[in-house]
Parts: sequence; C-alpha cells; structure tokens
Amino acid sequence: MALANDGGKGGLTNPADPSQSSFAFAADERTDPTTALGTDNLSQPGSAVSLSDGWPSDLTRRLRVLLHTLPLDGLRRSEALRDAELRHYDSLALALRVLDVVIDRLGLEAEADREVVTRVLRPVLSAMDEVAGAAPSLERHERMIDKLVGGLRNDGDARRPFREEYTSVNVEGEAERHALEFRLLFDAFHPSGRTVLRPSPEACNLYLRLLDLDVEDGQAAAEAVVESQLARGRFDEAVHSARQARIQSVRFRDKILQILKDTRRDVDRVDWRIEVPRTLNESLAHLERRVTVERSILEAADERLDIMLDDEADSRRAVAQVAEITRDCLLRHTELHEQLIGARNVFLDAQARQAFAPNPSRPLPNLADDVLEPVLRMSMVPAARLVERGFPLFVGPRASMLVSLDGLVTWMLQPRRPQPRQEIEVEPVDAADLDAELRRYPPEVRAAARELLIAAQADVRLSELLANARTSGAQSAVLEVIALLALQGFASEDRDNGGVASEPIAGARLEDPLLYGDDLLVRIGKGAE
Amino acid sequence: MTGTRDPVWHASRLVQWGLRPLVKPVQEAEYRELVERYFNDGSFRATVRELADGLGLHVLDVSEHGVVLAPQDDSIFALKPADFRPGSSKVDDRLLDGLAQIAIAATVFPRARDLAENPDIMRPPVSVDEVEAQLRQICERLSAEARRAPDPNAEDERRGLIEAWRVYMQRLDTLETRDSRKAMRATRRVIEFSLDRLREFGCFTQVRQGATAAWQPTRRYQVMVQQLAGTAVFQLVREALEAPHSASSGGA
Repeated sequence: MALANDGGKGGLTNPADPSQSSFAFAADERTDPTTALGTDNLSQPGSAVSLSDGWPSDLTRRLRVLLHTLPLDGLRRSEALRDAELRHYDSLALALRVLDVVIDRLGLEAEADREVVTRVLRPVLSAMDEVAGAAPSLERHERMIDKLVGGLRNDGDARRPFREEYTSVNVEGEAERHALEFRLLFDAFHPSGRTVLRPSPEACNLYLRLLDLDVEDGQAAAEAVVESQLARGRFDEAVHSARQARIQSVRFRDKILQILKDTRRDVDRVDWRIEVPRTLNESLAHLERRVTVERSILEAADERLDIMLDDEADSRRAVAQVAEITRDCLLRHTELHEQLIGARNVFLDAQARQAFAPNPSRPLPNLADDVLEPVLRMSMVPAARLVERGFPLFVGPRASMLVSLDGLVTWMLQPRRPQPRQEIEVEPVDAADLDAELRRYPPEVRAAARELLIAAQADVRLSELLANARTSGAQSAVLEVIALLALQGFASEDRDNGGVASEPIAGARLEDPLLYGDDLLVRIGKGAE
Repeated sequence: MTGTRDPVWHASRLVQWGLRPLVKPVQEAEYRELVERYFNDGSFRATVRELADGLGLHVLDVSEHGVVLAPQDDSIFALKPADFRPGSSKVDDRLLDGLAQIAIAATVFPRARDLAENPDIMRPPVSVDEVEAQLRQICERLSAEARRAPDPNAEDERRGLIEAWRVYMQRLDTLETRDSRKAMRATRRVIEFSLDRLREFGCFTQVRQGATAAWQPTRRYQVMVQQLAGTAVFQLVREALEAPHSASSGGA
C-alpha cells in the first residue's frame, strides 16, 4: 500500500497537478518546455527561426498571470445578464473589495466570513445605490453579495477551480492548447470550527503583487501577506501571518525530507529520470526566492523598528516578533538549501549505482470508476474482505477500550435499569432543535395546522384532532405538523412549545393511517394563538 | 508542572489528543501548545512520529486544526465493519457498510484530481440521496450488463460467489415489500447510518440544505481520504484484480 506521509500528493507521485497550490513548484515550468529550453535553442544550428523571438519564454508566465484575472472579468460581463435591479453595481470593484477584506483579515482570529464581508460591503453598495438614485435595500445587498461571493468561489461549477484555456508555442514552433486551473476564494475550515472565506494563494498574489510572477506559490503568498500587513501597520496580524509562513516552511521542509527518505527506501516510488532532478531544481529555485523575500521582510521590519516611537511598545514587540520568526524561517531555508545541494549528489550517486526502470507516477484514482465499480464487480467474499481492509482508513482510528476494574465494580453495583422492549429501531435525532423540524414544512402548511389546533376545544385527543382535520380536507402535511406539535408538547414543562401541551391517555391507542401508538390528550393553551 | 516531563511524555500526549477526533486545539491549551511545539521542535516531531508508528498509527497531518491519525494495517486502532455496526455479524452487512463508505468518499470527491486539493478547502456537502444514487447507478448498469448471463444458482449464492452488486440489488429487492419507495429507504438507511456514525468519529457534521439534510465533510475526513484512504483502497483494488484467483474463486 502506498502510505506516503504527504499523502502521495507531492511532486513525485502526482506531477501533473495544477490545482495543488500550497507547495506547487512554479507549475508553469512543468507545462512549458520553452522556459527551460528557449535559450539553448538559439545555439542549435538546425533551428531556422529563433524561438525566443517567436515566443519568448517569459510570455507564457505572463499570460498565465493574466488568465487569473478572467473570472473577475467574467463577473463584470455577467452584469449584463443579471437582473436589472443589480445592474448599477460595479462587480469588479466590489470583487476587489471582497478580496481586500478577506486578505486583510487572513490570519486574524476573526478571519473574514460571510458576515464580515456583508458588513464591509454594505456601505460600498449603498454608495453605488446613491449614485444610481436607488434606495439601499438589505435584501438586494444580500443578493448582490451572494452573487459576488458565489462568482469568486465558482459556485456555478460546483465550486471547482476555475479553468481557463490558453495557447502557447512549444520548442518546435507549434501552438499548443493548455488549461490552467486555479481558485480565487473558497470556504475553509477555521481552527475554531467556523466556516470562513479564504483567498487562494493565487488571489493573494494577484491582489497584493498584481502582475508579478509566481502567482501559484503558497509560501510566496504567505510572505506577501506579512509584507503587506507590515506596510499597513497591522503588526499583530503580521506576527500571526509570519507564523503561518513558518508553518508553510516547516511543511515544505518536511515534504522535501520525506521525498528524500522515500527515495532512499523505495526506488520504485520515484521517477529518477525526470521528476527527482526537476523537483530538486525547483526546490532550490524556490528556496532562493524565499530567502530573498525573507531578507526584504527583515529589512522592512528593521526599518520599522528604527522609526517607531518608544510609546508604541506593543507594536515594537510585534514587529520584533515578526523579525524573529522570519529570521527563523531564513535559517531553516538556508539549512535546507545546504541539504538539497547535498541531496543532489546523493541522488546522482544512487542513480549511477542502481539499475532502475522509470516508473510512471501513480495516478490518483477516480473513486467511483476505479474503486467502487471494480469492487461491485467482485464476488461477495473477496469484495467483503477488501472493504474490511479499507474500511478503517475511512473512519479513522478508534481508541481501544481497556477494562477498568474500578469502573466495572461501580457499574455492577448500580441498580439495574429496566430495558423497554423496542420494536422499532429508533433513529437518533437532534432533539434540541424543535424549530428545525417544523421549518421543513412550508409556512402555509404550518399556518393551517395552527388554525386547526386553535379551532379545537381546550382538551382533545390527538386521534380526534387528526380525524377532524382529515374530514375538513387538510392535506397530510398539515396532519403531520399537528402531530409534530403535539409530540413536541409532550412532557415539556420547561420548554416553549407554542402553547401546545400533551400527555398520554392510559391504554388508549391511536390508529391513524398516518401514525399509530399511544393516544395523547392535547391541551391547547394561549400561546398557540 | 508538565514542563519537567520527558519529551516522550509530551509526544504521547499529542498522540492521545489525536485519538480524540472531536476535540480541537482551540479548545484545549495543552493541545495547542503541543501542536506549536510540533512545528517548532524537530526532535519532538520525530518522537511523535516514531511513537505513533510504534502504536500502529500514521500521522497524516498536524495543524492548528489538530492531529489527524490513521490506523496502519492490522493496527489495534483499526475499526472493522463488524465493530461499526454492533450486533450484526453477517458478511453482506459488512460488505454494504464498506461499499457505503467508498460511495460516500466517491460522492465527496467525484474527480480524481479532487483528491489532490488543499484539504483546508471545504468540499460541498453531500446528501444521502446523492450517495445512494452513486451506488445504485453503478449497480443498475452492472445488472443491465449481466442480463444475458444466467442467474447465479443457489449453491453459488450460498458460497458467496455472487457479485457484490447483486448483494446490493438484493437488499433493494428483499425489502421491496409494499412500494418501491420503501426499498429505497432500506439502502438509504445503510448510508444514513454510515454518515451518522462518521459524524460520531468527527468526519462529518450535519447541515441543512434547503429542506433536506446534508452532510458536510470535516477537514479531518478530507485529510484522511485525500492523504491515505483514497489511494490505499485503490491499491487494494489493484492488488485484488492482479490476483485473479482470489477474485473468481470467492476466496475459498
């Protein structure tokens, strides 16, 4: 079984993955052979046209940067198709404001969520309303924000990454179609358990260093955020972002070390001919870029410290912390740089020594076609054996239980509780949320049920209530709501249940086509009205 | 107090936090400090990994969201389908529960490349119906393919030689007592049960999507499937297919 600690999604096992951004080694170099070969070609006597004239290698990178702006353009164009009420909003300006707030809050405890975006955007929307002579409306603002966030998140395509196609010219002078995939904004898990809106590294780089290269680099994005926060004077956030950048750098280092370890352990798992040398080169280039940026952050931090006044003690401390963390990253990167240089020799030696067959990197499975269907085709016993082996991986580890003698004695001494015989399997429900059950029914159904309840006498059997409602021609959804209200009112002294209370009638059975069981005596109070 | 303890003690504390899927570092100061230490201290990281490995656990991910562990093959921490559904020891129940797990993962990650995405990005929630449809459509297709072939005889069935999809379809048939809606309910219950149990393991949360219930995968679940379960179960399938004997002889 392939059990890579980085999940087999690192550069080695999955080279052609454009969507993985956090540690992508400038993916453009992979898909664009001209980058590496363009200049060499000049000296080749056979090539008639100088390719660097026809298609300079840098052009592809620049093109790819531009492609990242197309979804924003798409938002703007879709204005024409939108309803007339929203047409006076400038979605490009608004989308940039959304990116601004989510990037600005990155790393903050109160990272931006939908609510924050609404709060920030409402004044802007109101200003646009005013110019257009429209009265501001919360409902319309919400609708517009939905469209903006949905557009940036690519809700239209099931929140998949945006996919933009483009053409470049390869070494042979042939035009080639490529597809670039990237995200701008996504729903992310916040450590606190909330759902937050987070910009992709591409969005950060696009926004903070517009049209600079290397849009796909997650670490570059983290460091760009630190730079931006330092410049904006948001020092505490800069500390947090610097920590994030450090975590990224630790992960990057772990990933590289893991690759080195895996390679030594299992030659088949890596592609020695192309992938490993490329990964090493890319990692080296990446590290060199990081070191440059980290030096510039350090410089900026030192400058800040020089000009800061003594009464800004907190800010001084924060900036000093940013500097310290960045210095730590710098140190780590310098060390890793040395290790990588050493590693290259290790690889070259090993390559020379070992007989190897280049192994195509292991593709990721399409779970439905490559796993589910083959298993369904298998005969029952081996299929069951297979799913039994795979099963634990989907649910995660379960701590085994040990017997506690103390606990056992306590358990044995406690009085035996009678176990009610259950004929029907009880489905677990979230009993606390009564309203959610009711909200499943449309308002008119709920209103009809209330009316029938209010019309009933003070004390009435549930069976009668249902029978009367049925004869009055109510649909079964209304009957369900009546039954639901009666059940919610059962044994609920301390709960607000809309003025409906009910208790069992000994021995009486309810046998309605809709439900059966013990009949209830329903009392309709004032609150029902 | 804890500062004086041996680093191994701290490392084992971090592993035990990882075995509590519902606890997050944000709620527990000690957990938070240990995660921080994991990032800052290289030898501590190595100790945590060695310790987990010795216990039969993979460390899939450590972040401010917590530690994500996965059981190694034959680990004492591995939860088998038989323990998943207490009180049932039938092979077909275990098979269906396993199929439900794969179908859930396949619905959360419909494309191969989804497995390579950043696990911090929330996947859209899934519903029981979507998972059921995923499973049933494949079974119906396989059933249509097999229409010309003779039905399996009773002896084959007894020896477990019938294909897995027939087990699923039989579950549809045997429970088709009154109307076909009832039958759907039976297979839906298998899936709903699985999702509900996954919720107990911190793998899903239940959310509302309009009028219906939907299940939101947690980051932990995404990490587990993306980093290990997806490729590992694929590898198991490949191994099984490359060994044609075990696939056709019913493992006898």
